[in-house]
Amino acid sequence: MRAGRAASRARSATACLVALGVAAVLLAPPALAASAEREPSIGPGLEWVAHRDNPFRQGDDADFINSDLAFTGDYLVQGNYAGFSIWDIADPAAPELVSAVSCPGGQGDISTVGDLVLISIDETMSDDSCEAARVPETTENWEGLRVFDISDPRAPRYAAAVRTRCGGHTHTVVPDPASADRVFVYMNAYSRGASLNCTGRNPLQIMEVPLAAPEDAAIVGELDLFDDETAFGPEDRVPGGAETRSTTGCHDITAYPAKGLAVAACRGDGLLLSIADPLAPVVLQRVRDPAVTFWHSGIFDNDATRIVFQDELGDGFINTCSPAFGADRGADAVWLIQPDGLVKAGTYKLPRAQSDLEKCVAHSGGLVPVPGRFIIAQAWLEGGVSVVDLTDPAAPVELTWFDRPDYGYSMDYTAGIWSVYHYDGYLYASDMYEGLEVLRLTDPVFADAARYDDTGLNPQTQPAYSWVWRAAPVVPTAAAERAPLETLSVEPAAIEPTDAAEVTVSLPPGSLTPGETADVWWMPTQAVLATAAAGADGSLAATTVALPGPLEPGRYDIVVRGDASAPRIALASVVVASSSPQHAPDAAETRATGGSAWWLLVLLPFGVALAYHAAIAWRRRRRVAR
Amino acid sequence: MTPTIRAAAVRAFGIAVATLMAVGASGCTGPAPDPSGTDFVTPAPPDGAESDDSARPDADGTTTGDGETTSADVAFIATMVEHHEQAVELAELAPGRVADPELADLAGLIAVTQAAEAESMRGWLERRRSADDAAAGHEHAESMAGEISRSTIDRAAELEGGAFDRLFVSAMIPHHRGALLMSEARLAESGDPAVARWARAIATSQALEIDRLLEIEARLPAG
Repeated sequence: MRAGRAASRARSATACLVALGVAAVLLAPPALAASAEREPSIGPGLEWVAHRDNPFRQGDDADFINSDLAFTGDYLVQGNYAGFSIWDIADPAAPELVSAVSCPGGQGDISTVGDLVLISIDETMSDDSCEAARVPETTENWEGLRVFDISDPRAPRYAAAVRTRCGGHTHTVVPDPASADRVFVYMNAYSRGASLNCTGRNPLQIMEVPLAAPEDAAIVGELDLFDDETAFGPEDRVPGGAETRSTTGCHDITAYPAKGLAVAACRGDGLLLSIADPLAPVVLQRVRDPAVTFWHSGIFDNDATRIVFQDELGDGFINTCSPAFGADRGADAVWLIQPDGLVKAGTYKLPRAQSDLEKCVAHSGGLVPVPGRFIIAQAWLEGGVSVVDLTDPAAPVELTWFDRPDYGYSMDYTAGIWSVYHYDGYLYASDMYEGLEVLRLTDPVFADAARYDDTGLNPQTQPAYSWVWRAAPVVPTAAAERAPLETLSVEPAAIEPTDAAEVTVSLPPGSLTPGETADVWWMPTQAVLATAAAGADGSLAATTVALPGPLEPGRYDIVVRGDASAPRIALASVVVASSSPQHAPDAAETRATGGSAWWLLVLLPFGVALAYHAAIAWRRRRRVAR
Repeated sequence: MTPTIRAAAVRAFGIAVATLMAVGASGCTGPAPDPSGTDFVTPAPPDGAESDDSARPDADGTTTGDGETTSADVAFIATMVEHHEQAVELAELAPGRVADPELADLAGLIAVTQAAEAESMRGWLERRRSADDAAAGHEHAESMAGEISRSTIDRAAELEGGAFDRLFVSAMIPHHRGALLMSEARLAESGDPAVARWARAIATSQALEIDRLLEIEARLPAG
């Protein structure tokens, strides 16, 4: 995905600086003063790669703010309270707006599955169309999940609308372990009281979306995640009908399908679920924590041994990142998944105090896939982006940040960065009003994270990251097993014993996953000789590598392994032989040049010794003569 | 500013904007915006859609749906500021008087959170009042449910230990239920959708606190 991307970046950056300078000089006093003052503070090892304005923005109108992000191939889909945007991020430094789909309804939580975009609405709309208006929830209304087909990303097609009981504040895509033809979607929402459709406890509604026939999407299951059956008696609501209980539904669920687990953040409760059967989730544990006000979301570490929960204290309308709130209120909480249940192990709060003109609270983020570490990138609204290492939950370390100052005034409602996720080597941040920010982590600790080739990501459906390139390939010894793997061309395949040699390897089209990163391994020392990108046709272009010497006679394996096509390997052998008839002329030539020096080395001491003895004999004869 | 200077300034501004646009179009690294004129796509509804034209904007632009700030919005926010201030006043009495440690913690949270929300809402009101002097929210002032009376505050100031805890809980639960009532009254009316979202947020946070207050109340020693 990233071959040849950044070629002209440095050149255009220079041009940009010049042009920006000109523009800044001309514009600075009247128009750009505010935005120039809003230059972000950027932490160490973080590069601000690109910015794109929110195409929907209407000044400070809160009905046009961006929300969450999802990724499919080279496309980034950005939810908005007024619809969604599709960005082409093939070059992360230059995102291109492919289309902006106008289809109002908050909060526009978004996912992608193949060519489908799913967007959930939990504002009560007049109907399910893209021309609907917002209506009070006590009147006839629609809310639920919209499904768009973006196989033509310039002209998305509205494929289906499925009404749910309380809409979908967020939703979570869960693959069907038995079939790649459909996915399940958990609709996460909670009731809001005196509503026409959405009162009392809102069960987890599970939807099925057939990928080839999205118009058949439908609710296929419904589940109560709470065991407090006694709740929601008459005393648990105010006269108008609004509930006074916490357990009315969930705010967000993060699934980790490879581990059969999910973590549900349900307002006043945190839940660990087994989703081994996605249609029948089982609550493994339910926890409450007096230090947590609003369980907003959770992120697993890659081993699924730890979870970090976000606490959206104040729902994004206030600044909780201030000395008044301190380090404990509104903090992320890290919990360990132990055999006997969840155990709280530490907290993390944004260390940079924000102005009270800003809205700041823990919001959405995701794992940065660094092997052996628990590093997340997380949004804190106007507190910006914080990249934090939670490997030792008792002593979290903020690694870097991106943080704009306040607007010079307080936004009426929520504002700032909604979410930030690591995708294919970059961080993408969705800013509600400002738009899209692309950032890059430059510290070498992120090299493996940057190398990980994502092909798509719904951040609330966590992938199991594997860094296959970090371990040497295993080559079979049995000839019958080796034969089908010997697809690698190597030139020359036979060489003479030498201190160093070069060979050229290549693979025909169709051998590798197009565009994937591949290593050339020298098996005798288990060393990577070269790293290259596969061609768009799955070939490996001729790649010359230096073989580490000395090369004694023998047969040695060279392996090419792609990150995506692993564990499959392509194999070839290099034969080092002391003499080979077919290469006689070359060998003779080598001996003629290299050989003379060798003889010199032998002859020189011999000559010196001869001269020495001759000199002694001569002196002896002279002495005798005297 | 003379007309000549103004024309020059306008021209300079135009050049600057054009330069910025060129920078954006060339795929600049860093903070340059991408100013491409966006063509918005509005897909047709799916087959079998539940279309309903009644709440859409009519030809003359009127609508029965939500939109601009209404007097219901202003009344809701104005009343909620006062309502929050009562909670803050009671919660700020807790240090030195409260006995239950979790209640002490919750009181601290209520004090700091509702003070910040009230400040936000005051700012919201001021911006609307300065923009439109006619928007005097008090004309539409709503009845305030769950009001914490002056006498309750005064009594709390005299109490400590378990007695303070019981008074706190018995005043704060109805207070928070009142906030829910006020929120749902707003949610039943038309107005700025962002205010509706704010009303939902307030209802949510206060419902969660009621839940916790009930838990604490259940284990408080009887007086």
